[in-house]
Amino acid sequence: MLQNLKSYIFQELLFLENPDDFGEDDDLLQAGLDSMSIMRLVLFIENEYGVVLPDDELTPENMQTLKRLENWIKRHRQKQT
Amino acid sequence: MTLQRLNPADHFTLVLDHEIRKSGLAGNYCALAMELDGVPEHAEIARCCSAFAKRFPLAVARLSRQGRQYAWVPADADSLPFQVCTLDNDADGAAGQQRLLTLVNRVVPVSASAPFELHLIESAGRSLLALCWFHPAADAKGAELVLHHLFNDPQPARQPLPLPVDHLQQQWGLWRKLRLARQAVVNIHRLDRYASVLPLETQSPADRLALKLVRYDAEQTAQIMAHARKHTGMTGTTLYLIGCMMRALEAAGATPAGNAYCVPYAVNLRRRKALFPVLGNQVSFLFAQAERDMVHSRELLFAHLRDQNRAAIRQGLDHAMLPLMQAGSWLALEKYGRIVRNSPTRRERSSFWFSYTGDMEPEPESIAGCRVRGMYQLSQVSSPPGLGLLASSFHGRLVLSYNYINNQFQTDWLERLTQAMTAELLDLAEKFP
Repeated sequence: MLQNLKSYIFQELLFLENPDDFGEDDDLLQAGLDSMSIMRLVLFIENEYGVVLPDDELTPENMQTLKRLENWIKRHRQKQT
Repeated sequence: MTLQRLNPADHFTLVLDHEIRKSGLAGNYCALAMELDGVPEHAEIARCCSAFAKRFPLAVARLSRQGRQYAWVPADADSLPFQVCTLDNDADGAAGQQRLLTLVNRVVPVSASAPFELHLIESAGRSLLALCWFHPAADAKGAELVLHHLFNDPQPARQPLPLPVDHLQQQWGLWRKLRLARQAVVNIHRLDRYASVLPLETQSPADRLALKLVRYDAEQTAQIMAHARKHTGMTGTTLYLIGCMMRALEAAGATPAGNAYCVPYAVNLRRRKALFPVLGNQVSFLFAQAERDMVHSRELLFAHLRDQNRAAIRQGLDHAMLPLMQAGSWLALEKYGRIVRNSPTRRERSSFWFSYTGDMEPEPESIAGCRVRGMYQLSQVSSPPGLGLLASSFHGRLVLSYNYINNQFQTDWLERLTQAMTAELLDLAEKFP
């Protein structure tokens, strides 16, 4: 899942010279993910993983790093299955 | 360079050029003004203009009608036009601003308009370096990239193909395009249930563009961004600025006619932080709309704008305008312009024009050896609405550029508007009665 999220983010939303160097605990927001990208990312996740992510959970606590994103998705997948 | 057709977003800005000219104004010209400490070497700037034109031949092309559509065709030029103007005294920058407005207000036929021009306005130890551009050549974020590649990046710009607007369209088959276009039409019909509030009703023909700048220091900017985060969450400085402007217009006294504010805003399709594509408009559009009553409550307004934006992106409306714009590019400019601007009741749809480009990227410390002290943007607007708000940020300081039609707005009304906007941004405004 981490690799899939990373591929989408760096192929579609955010440009980095060396995306391979971007770690799972690195800060996505500081790297440049903006409001529109965040909404696109949420949409991608919902379609890709079949979960519904509530708007009121769009917070840095859930979206700041790839690891946090993965945990957020997993929590909702567990809830919704 | 061979002939290059306009993409749907480029063509959309050409339609707006037609509408601006129809208002009696120069056309869809914009400028990115860099305020420099010192005066750069003219020869160095001329060298950069020439090198840029070699790397990007489209930057010196001219627009020409090709059948029912338009395209860039090669022109007999090997450098971006570069002109120098010297002012006797411009201690506060006002004379430089006026000079820049004169340049943006020149009437030049479409077929003779240079995609980009560079103007250096000098006075006693400081200068204003302005990149003026014709909108079909680039969007505002692209203009920042042009400036970067002109002066600070000697490497050829990466231009991965296809470009974002083309890439999206190539992904979609005919039926998907038709579905998206239909979604966009349904959305516009929904917007048209309301009559838009305009800043003022005027019958007087427009004379020329004027400008009022309001700058915020680093501390104020940090406060504004904190309020934006609080009210519109992770998804919306743009929405916060638009909402504050709606409320400021209501406080300053917009026209009593109309029952909702409606504001179109561009969605940048480039990847964030990418230094490409440089040329072409790589944008789509969304609308922020709020009923007049709702504007009276900050909480209700921002919650509504946030929900509206999220719903629009979930429905794919941020991309849905592209197939519609593609279809529009086959229409005559006159007809397309009428459809774009007017609701079925023939009322102007936009309450004001809006753009927020965020932090300049990459942010130049210096240009041609001179430290960059500040920057601002300006852009022609159609009349009505006759008012555009361009927001940007430089060195962590927010700059609001109010672009308006000189003979249609009173100075004291504009003063009330900008003061109300500042109060809104800093959450210091009194409650509406």
